[in-house]
Amino acid sequence: MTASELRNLVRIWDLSVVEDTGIADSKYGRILNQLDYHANREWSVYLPALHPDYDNSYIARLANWIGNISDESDQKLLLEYALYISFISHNDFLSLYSTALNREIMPWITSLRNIRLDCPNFHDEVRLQIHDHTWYCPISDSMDINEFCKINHLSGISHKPTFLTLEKFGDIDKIKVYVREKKIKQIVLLEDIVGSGTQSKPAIKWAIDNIKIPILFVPLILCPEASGILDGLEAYSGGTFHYRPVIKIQKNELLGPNRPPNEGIIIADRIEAFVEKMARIHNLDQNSKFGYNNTGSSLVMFSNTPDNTLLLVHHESPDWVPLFPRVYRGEI
Amino acid sequence: MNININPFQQLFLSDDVQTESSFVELFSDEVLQSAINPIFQGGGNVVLKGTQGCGKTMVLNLLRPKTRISYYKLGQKFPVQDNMTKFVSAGINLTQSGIAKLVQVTLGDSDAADCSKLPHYFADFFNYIVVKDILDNIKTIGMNGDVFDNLVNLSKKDDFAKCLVGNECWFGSLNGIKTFDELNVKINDRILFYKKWLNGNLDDLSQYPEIHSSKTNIGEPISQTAVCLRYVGVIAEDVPVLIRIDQIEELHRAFSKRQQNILLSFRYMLNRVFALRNSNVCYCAATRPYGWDKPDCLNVWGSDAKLENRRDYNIVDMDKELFLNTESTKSIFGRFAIDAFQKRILYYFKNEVGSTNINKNLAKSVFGESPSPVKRLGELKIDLSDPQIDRILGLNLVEDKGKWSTEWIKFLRRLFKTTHEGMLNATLAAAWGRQTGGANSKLEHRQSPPPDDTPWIHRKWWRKERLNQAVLQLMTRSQQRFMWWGLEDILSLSGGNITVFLHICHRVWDAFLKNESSLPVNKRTDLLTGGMIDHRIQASGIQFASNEWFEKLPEEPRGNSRQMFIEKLGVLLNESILRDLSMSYPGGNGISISFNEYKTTKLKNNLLIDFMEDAVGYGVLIKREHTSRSKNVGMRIKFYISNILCPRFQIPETMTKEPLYWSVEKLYEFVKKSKVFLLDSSNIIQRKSNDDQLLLRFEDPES
Repeated sequence: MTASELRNLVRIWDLSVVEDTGIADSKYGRILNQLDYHANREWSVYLPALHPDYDNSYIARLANWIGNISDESDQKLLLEYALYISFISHNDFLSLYSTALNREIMPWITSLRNIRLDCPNFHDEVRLQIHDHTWYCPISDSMDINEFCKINHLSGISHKPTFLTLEKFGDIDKIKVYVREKKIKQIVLLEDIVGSGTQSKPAIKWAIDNIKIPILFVPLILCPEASGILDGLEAYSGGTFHYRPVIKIQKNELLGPNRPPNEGIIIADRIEAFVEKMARIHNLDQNSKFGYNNTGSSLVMFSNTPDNTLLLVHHESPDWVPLFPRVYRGEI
Repeated sequence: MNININPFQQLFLSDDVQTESSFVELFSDEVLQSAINPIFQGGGNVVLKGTQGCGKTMVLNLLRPKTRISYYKLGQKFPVQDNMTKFVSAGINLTQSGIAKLVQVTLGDSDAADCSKLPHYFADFFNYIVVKDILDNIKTIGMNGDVFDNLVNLSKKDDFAKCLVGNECWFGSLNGIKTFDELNVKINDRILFYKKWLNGNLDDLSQYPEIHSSKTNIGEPISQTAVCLRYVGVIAEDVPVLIRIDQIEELHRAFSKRQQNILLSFRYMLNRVFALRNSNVCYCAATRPYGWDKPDCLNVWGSDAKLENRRDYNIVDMDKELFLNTESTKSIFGRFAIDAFQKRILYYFKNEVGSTNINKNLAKSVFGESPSPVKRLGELKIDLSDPQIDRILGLNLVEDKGKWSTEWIKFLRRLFKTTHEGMLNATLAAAWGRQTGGANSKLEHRQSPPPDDTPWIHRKWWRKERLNQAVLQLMTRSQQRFMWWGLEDILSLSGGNITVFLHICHRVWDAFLKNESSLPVNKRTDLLTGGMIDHRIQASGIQFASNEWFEKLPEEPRGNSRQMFIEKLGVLLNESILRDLSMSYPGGNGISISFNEYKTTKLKNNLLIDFMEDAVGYGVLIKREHTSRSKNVGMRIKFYISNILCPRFQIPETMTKEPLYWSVEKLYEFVKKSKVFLLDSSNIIQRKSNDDQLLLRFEDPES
């Protein structure tokens, strides 16, 4: 379906009597209007769609995505759901980086190092710890650690390896020497989004086991399912490891088996029923129809769509065009 | 055509002070002479009354010297008759000047004291703002002698200053001033004092006894300024001095009982300038209906008198006098709107096409003609099976069982299947069949065979009154919305309000641009050279605009209540029109109340009247008086939902025939069911003022 056809369809929907009400509330026109607004602004940059194989225009992709199905009520449902998908833009991430430092990392360090507010050298002490004695590293390469440091004007320790790589290839002795030489007193690990926690867990556990200094893990966005794993790691560490997400997704914001009954967005039941139907028709993996591990997220980032997000948003096949195409990473 | 520009993006140009030059290009003066003339001819106070966005402020802006200068620079004729262009003006916008914020300060005594004393400060502040504006404008006019035909003689300005300061109306506050520039500084100082006070930058007013003891009487310094200008020869004796007062309704936007009382006192004080009927100056005011129409708005401070129309002021009701008949392109409003549309396009697309090349009636070519009732059905795609036709015409309703003969049913089905016109005629014929032909007759027409003379076609007025209802019933029962499109429909939905018209244009143009952006370049439509916006795009844009207007209702004070009421009323009227299969009440898109009942003085009805009048004043309802269909029963008042809201509620906006007759009790019950709380000001819970709230007590107050 083209964008023009989608607009025509939305007009037809609004000019039709659907429910038994006298009110012509331009429901679908208003949804499309909002999507138009975002499409021309923050949603206009979605990195995977910049590839020549895809259309960079959100509205064009939306039209094709809705055109995946022919049933009108399902088409309307997809349009409604499109407005519920949370798009975290590049600008949003820049704000998350600032918030991570100011709201999560700094209080942790001042508490950890017992730097009191009434200390005469408060600012100097904090600055010293933040810049010179804290090692900022990403868990994986999807976290843009360089941007994080630039936005927050963080200087100091220059090497910032991904801890997933370190865990796989790192020489722990060399790492310990580096920690000693650079006078690193605490580590801050960051990740853009943590879904189930299965990817982050080995790297964090390795750090706890081998680099015996305080570690703070700051996932910018954390899904509920990962909380259990991270709580477990906190207990395992005996107090050297803590985690503080910047945004914590609530269970009632998910879809699928992880959503509490009778909670969630208004169209939750209908979307879940639709996903079940599509999974049957397209023979999808039952364990991932609501995203990896059936997490049930409705998140998209400007850089990629997490695999925890509903399959219908990013799934690609001869029979299905994605709204937000996803770039799959190899096995970690 | 540039598809990135929406020429209707900015609705309220009059509020943008940077648009003097664009004012000239966009202001549509052609048809507003009947509003402009009373203002410029002097000789009496004039009040321009009209709903939001009808153009009042734009008309008053013609009084500003900078506007006149813009016309001159652009080589355009000033749109005021030549014999009325010699005047000096000044003014105040009660919103932009901040003067209404005086309600937020206190003299530190009690609310009652504030109520009795603050109006005098209001009067003083008002005087100084207006006099300052006169001085500024005198200077501007004097320095642009070529524009104003040397209307002002600035060589006498210091003499004027000396004349003015000597007047006792200032109570000595201007003593010692010798020059025009010194006068300006002193006037500015007083204004600055008030601004500081409003911003809480002054601690205690008692530290400024010179202010307290020199408060001026409202209007008096302004009058004396005009006298001195003429006496000294700065202006000629016959040059009128016209004072603008804009947004009087600001004095009726109260959010608490205290504010309400004090603002009303300010209003009474302001009314004095009208009541004085001072021959030295003329006041030209602009107000929305809710800022003028209530009887208690017209009291005069310090007197038992009320302002009287025709004596103290002349009112120009822009909604009624200029813009009442709105559907026709030839009506005043129609010409005004078409001209405003043309000017907007020329302004925003002037680089693309010269004004000589452009279509002379763009509104007509862009929107096209509005459809006839048959054409409105043009989109209908109906399954023409017999059961479907029976359902659409309501022939299979339980309550109708056995009442339709086989002959009638076959006749209607046959008629329905012919054409769209046949569908319409079948709907009307079915309605006719259900009617009895009069109050005294009990025999429905369908009890006889279908007549050959087809009265549903040939009884012209019977048919005309029911066409829209028939279309609405037909479309709704065919799962389609009633659609509006074309210039006449847009003018009609605008309801005589230019801002509504531009809002509709904005949304329709926006829908058009979005559609165009999805099309390849060679398939796009050029509206500047005769292209028309597709009627479905217009229809959905109009529906969108209607919904947006509905969502705006809570922006005004007590707007939530009005929104809830309108929502309920709209749904009820729509249901009523749809269920009226016999079309006995083709005018059922409104309600009618007995005039006497409506004006009764019982408490609940006073509150009800306030609520309904507020709804009219804020442009949510339209009110008209009419005579009853029954003889000797007297006058009635009918209320309709504002035209722009009709697409949302799927109600035809045209006002034909008698609306639904309600008693005032029924209206009251309906208002209550809408969960509207009719506010009695005496029941508003008053918070006791607690001085302790102003103090930050860290210690126990007992210690």
